[in-house]
Amino acid sequence: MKILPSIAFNDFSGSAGNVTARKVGDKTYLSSRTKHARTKTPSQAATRCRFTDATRGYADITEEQRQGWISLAARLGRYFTSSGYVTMTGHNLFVAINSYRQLCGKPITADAPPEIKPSRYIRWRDLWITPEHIVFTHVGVRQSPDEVLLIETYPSLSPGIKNGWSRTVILTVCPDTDWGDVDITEAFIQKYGAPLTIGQMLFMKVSWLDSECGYLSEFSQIAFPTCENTPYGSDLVYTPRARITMEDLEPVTEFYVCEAMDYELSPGSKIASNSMTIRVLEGGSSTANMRFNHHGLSEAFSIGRSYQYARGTAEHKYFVLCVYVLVLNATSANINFRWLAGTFASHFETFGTYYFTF
Amino acid sequence: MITLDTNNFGGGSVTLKDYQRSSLCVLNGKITVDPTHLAYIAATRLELDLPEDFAMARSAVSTAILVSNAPIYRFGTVLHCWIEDNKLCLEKLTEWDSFGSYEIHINAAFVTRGYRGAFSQTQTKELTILNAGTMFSFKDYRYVETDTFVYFISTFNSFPSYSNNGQGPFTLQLSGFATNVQVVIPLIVNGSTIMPQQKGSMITVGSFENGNLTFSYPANGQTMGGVNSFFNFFAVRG
Repeated sequence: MKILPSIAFNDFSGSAGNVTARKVGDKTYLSSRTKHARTKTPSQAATRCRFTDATRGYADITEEQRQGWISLAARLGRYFTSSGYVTMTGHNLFVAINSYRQLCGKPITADAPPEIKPSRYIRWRDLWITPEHIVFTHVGVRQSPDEVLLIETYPSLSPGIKNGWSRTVILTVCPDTDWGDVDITEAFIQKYGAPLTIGQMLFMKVSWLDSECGYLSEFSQIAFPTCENTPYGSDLVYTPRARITMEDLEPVTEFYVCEAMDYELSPGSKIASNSMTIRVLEGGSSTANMRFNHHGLSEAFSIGRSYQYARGTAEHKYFVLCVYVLVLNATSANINFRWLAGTFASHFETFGTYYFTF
Repeated sequence: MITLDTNNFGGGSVTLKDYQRSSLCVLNGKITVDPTHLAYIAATRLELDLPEDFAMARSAVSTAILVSNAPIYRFGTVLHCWIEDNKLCLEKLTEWDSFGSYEIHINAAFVTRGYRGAFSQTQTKELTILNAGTMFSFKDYRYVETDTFVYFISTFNSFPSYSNNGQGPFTLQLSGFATNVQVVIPLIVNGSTIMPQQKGSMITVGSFENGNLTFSYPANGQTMGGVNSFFNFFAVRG
């Protein structure tokens, strides 16, 4: 049985039950001990795992390496984390940097980085926060291949909550943008189990983080209520990109298989850039339309075609073909390939950048 | 004109005619590659450094045409070509390395992606073949003319063949084609015959000048040309 001294004792320090006392200077502070919540989602478990690994890792490093971290921490002074400033120690810095490195798929580093590359703010042009889409567009380019986008979110449960910055948790790490697009809709639904609802406030912290360095410093703070259109008041309805991918396609027909599909229109007036691979099966004809149904374009597009170079695959000797690619998106929605000239190959890829004309 | 002085395959300086905007570029020119160079052998893809102030840092995939030094037919194929990290990048295919130095012709547009918004319809322009007859007639063609560059793709119902028309030179005389386009283009001129051990398609090189295309076939190029011939290119004006 533990004998508890009176809290009136000035020099008491230690823990008993749920109470911890610590002495700082002339004063003794009492605090209740935080109990570990036993509820564990997969992402919480992963976070704790990273933290535990990083903490244990510090015990395994050499004294020289430890001094390196202590020295670097002393140079940095206070450390800005996503939950505010904390006083920096070598241990803190080691755990923080290695936690973020692990999050980015990097191993724990025992040596303090020779150079700190702090995270930085992001720039973007449009942002949709709707029940269907959480999408940034025209996000600026990364400055090095090591940079990743670190995204933390907190979807406020109550519209009355005006400050949710301390409650954000890591949503995802994006290795890069998709031509400036960052679409976190799927990651959000995976994490929270449901889409946003109209009016719900979403708090986001977004930064370009150097995954090698793992030093989180600056980040953009973005908070908007969920609405039907863009949150910037311009009432811009979400507009999908004009593209067709494998996800938008029925790739197998009786005589033809589309093995790769990446088709997108850019302005100028309409220019298609694409990369597609087609295999003709037994019974398929070189002179027929190779047709695949799609659901990848918005109603704004009805019909268009591009005339393209194609080439046989290696087993088809790299023969060069001219094919036209006809995209229909009206009463029927399909993408058609037809050999026009050159030497036909029954397994070919067509790619490049071409005008999209009638 | 832009000059690309450095590359990763040991090639010399390359000059390309250019039209540059941040979302659309057109490049025209020829690169010579020595497949015996140690730097080439070590490279997994060909990279040429673009000028630091080049308008586009990254593009979607575009095309280039490899024209080998294979005897008579200059077999070759279409290559992936794109812009990445301020470099002009080309797929490396080694199928024709044994024939010695080869050419890569770039007559292509490069675009960025991620566009959301309205598009206008592309306006095409009609062309007329002035010397139409037994030698030339269009099958499918599209010609787009802007103030700064043109795009032209054509397949043919009639096109000169070595077996019927000899070596040439031949001139496709056009009405309506921009007269200030000077460009050298590869023509895909594989006839219906495939040669033993053939890899790639038969290619000859032609040039547009004053709105007309001139080309010829090599001596003994018996199976070259005919109705399956075609070309497809972008070219900067002026």
